[in-house]
Amino acid sequence: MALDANLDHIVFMKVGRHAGETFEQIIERKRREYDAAGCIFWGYGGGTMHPITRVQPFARMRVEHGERISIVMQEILSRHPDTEVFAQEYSRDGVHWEPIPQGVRVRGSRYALVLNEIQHGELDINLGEYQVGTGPSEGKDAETYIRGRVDKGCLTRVKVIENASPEDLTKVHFAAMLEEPYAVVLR
Amino acid sequence: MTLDLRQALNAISDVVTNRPLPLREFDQIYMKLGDMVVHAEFVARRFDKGRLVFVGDGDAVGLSVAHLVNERVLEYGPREITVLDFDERMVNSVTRFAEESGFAESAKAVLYNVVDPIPEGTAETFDGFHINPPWGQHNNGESVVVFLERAAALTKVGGSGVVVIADDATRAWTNNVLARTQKAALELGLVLEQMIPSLHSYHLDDAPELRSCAMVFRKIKDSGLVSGRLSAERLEDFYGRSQALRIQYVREVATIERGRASDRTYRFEELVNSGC
Repeated sequence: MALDANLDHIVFMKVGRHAGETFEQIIERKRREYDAAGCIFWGYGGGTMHPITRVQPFARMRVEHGERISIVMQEILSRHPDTEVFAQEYSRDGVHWEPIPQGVRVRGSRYALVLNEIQHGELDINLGEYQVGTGPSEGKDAETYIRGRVDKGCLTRVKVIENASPEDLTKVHFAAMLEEPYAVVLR
Repeated sequence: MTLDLRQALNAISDVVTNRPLPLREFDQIYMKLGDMVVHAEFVARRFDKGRLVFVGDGDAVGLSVAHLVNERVLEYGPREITVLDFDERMVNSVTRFAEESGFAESAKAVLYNVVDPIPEGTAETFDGFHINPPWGQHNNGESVVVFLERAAALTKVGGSGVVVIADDATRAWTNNVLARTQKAALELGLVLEQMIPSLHSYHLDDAPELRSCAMVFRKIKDSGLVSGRLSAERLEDFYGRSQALRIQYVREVATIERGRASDRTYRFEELVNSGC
């Protein structure tokens, strides 16, 4: 089934095993969370997509213009270490903190994207069509940016490349929409 | 003078170990160690025997300079540094380090936010200033100008100061901010004396190749600008897009684990049948 996602503005993320769970286990758990809480907190870390300084401004600006942001996930092999540490509270601004919603569990992550239901399907995206949409590298080609230690980014499509060769395409199997407040800090 | 690189790196390592971890909410991003050595030596040489004020100093360049001088790694340097910072963790780390190292008289730190007028009695009392402010990507350099205004107000006519901001010819926003900064400097009675392009690199995951320059300005006249509280519109996009300046101070939360690993981050697993 083809994934139905708005691809003009995306959060691209490489995903895999995390904190002792396989990717399939994480997806299954997150689906149960959506049923229970009506939203999903998708945990992540690293220094490139801070919820307050990067993701929220990127998302808010597009949403104010009537657009939506998709998160698209590329599955990779990962050796992320096990952990049994779960976040207890979240904050949208780093000042005011609230309990993690009933039914949501975020494991071993400092930050979380706030998503609606995760869809499974197939989609090819060409990172050559995208540029970085926020931060000091705003405007940089996504293909050059998503490399090495940088495995995720807020990206904006700036062109459409017709007849791209298969090796230029990235296979995506899961997608969701970001929901307000888009991303949060955890503790 | 020849710089003993091992001694210099060890001295800066003392400072870095003492420094609080950066807060990405304010884009506190630390300069890489080798560049810290180069920059601290440069600052020490430029401000030999002077009184130097740092308006914000997350990198702890001020403490690095003072420590290099105190450890006699450098034979020159400012006779006194004062750090003004809104992060109490930074302020306390400077005070503690200087006291423990025996140079509390020549290194001071005061809690201060640039949103406020400069502290009473400090106008035009310093020989030099140093700023490495938010780089103003989304407010056309306004955050740089704010720090520059405060720094210029603290500095005597005839004194000079270092401005560290982004410098990358391939990024249009850095060119715009450099231009805005130089224009604002002229209006503040400052003229450009020296610029070292692309001098420093940072632990910046999403732009590891982004560099900053060191611009040295000389204060040739008093601008007459009154150091008042900043208006609300100048606080918009201060730290980035939609990132207004809204925090007065970062307060330090006391912990008994200062200087060592938190016991919440590890646990001991004893030997089995060790025979002890």
